[in-house]
Amino acid sequence: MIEVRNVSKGFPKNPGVIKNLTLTVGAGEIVCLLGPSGAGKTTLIRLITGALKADGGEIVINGIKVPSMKLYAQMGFMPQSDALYPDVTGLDNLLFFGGLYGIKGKALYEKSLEALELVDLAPDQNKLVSNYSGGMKKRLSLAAALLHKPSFMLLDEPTVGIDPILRRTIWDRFHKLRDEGAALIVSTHVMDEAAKCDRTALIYNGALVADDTTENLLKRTEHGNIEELFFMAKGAEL
Amino acid sequence: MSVVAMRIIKQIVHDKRSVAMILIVPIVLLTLLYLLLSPSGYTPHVLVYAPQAFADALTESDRITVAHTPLDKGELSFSSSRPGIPVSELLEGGEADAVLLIPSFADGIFIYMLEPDSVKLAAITEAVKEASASLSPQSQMTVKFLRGDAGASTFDSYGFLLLAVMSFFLIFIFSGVSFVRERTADTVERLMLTPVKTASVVGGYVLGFGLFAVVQSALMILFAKTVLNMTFTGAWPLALLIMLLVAVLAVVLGVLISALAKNEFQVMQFIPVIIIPQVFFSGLIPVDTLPYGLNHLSKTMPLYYGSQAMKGVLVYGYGLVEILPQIAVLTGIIALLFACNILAVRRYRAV
Repeated sequence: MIEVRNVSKGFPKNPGVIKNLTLTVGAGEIVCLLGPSGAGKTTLIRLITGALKADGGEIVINGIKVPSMKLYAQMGFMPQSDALYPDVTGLDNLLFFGGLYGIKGKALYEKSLEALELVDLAPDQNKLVSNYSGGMKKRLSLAAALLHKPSFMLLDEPTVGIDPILRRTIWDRFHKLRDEGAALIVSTHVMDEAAKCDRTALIYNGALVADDTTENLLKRTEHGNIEELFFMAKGAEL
Repeated sequence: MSVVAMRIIKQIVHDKRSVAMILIVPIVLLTLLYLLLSPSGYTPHVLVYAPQAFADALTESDRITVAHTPLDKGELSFSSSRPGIPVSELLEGGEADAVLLIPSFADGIFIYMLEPDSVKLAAITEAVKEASASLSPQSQMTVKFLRGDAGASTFDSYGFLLLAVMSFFLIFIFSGVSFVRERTADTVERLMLTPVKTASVVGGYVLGFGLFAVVQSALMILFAKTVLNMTFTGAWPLALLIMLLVAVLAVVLGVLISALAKNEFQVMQFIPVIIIPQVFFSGLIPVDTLPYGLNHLSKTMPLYYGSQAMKGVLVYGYGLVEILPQIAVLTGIIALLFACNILAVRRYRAV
């Protein structure tokens, strides 16, 4: 369970990026962070990963206060950029990231192959990542985020630049991870992705303007269009 | 630590150009320097206008070839600005490398050359010195060196420097660019959001590049010793140890610099700032005669200690005990930079 309590964060040149934000994501739940570019989605995710320290408030995950080295071991993080090593093979990338979790020897090899299988990259495992297509890189990045079986995952715009077919397979993986009991936070500005989440948190200007099941949120809009959620976010601010 | 090191090794091995850069380029440059600095065997041709006895003594020298025009005192109206013979035509026409003129022994010896050329001049003055000494033994001059070998070629006395500077320069570029790429590709953030220890990340860099440095250094030493016949007065394993320390220094410096750089280009910008002054002060140019106490500047440059230790072993034949001070300073600097690296890399996590 991820609990974000009254968290705020600002930067010297950019104050008030996150303003007194509270959000809870239970185990076995996918929550979408929906909001326009610059709303603070990535900053919120970086606060939850422990890459940044909050100015105020606290974040507690599975009973442990962020930031903590203990949490890194059970966290799956998929950054917005691919964050892979293009000059080694796909398998080598996974062996590396898996090795960072202290997985060794045969187990490391098996888990890496398993993760590659999961994202349909097994046939390309020995290709250099520089020869991968954009979609293959995204899938490899996802494999690197989940190979150690994390109990919670943070996915920063995981399907940007991905074609609809691949997007569906990636979301199938997310649902599978959720069903296995993981807590997932997925940031997106793609409207139809919100429909695939259990809950949607609307973020605008660093504040949480709505947090409900996607169905309920859609009922509150005039026409039931997901696009309208964006304008809802903006309207709440104004 | 081995996880990070293993990845770095794979990255370099996959890139054939990097392997060539690390292993072949130093050998090529070493050979080039050898060819540039070794005695070329060139014998300058000198037109001599001098008394017969002196010309005969010069002719005996195998350092120069001589064409003698006997002088009658009367036929030359000599002053040092107007030699009385068409020196500039002779030299610019390429008829000789130099014109040597002795109107009479009372006037001294005049050597005219087209432009400064230390190699040719050294051969000519050496020949003149020998000729003078054979005519008047009391003017014989003998130079003896307490350390080093007077017969050593320039390559012998500067080759050690290339051994030290080469790995420093190459490994600095590799580690600096490699780490800045971690940052531009955001892999460092992903990597720091795993339970890996910061010291293991920096240590992995040192280990991974250190391995290539060992191979590179061993290859350079082997090549310099066996193929180029470079004089190794001291023990080569000590030289290998120093080169390894210099390479580790380059890794920790490269990682630290890349923390201050936003991209590969900015890493390159640090070369004239960080690397070139260190090369200047590493012993390439004698600095003990510098004014304003600038010679002490060398003591602030980490590479200086490496090149001094290298010189001690290769030229003076020092053992481990004699180079221990330099080794200690070098190790201290590495430890300090390593600690700075840990602080720089730790920024990526709030723990």
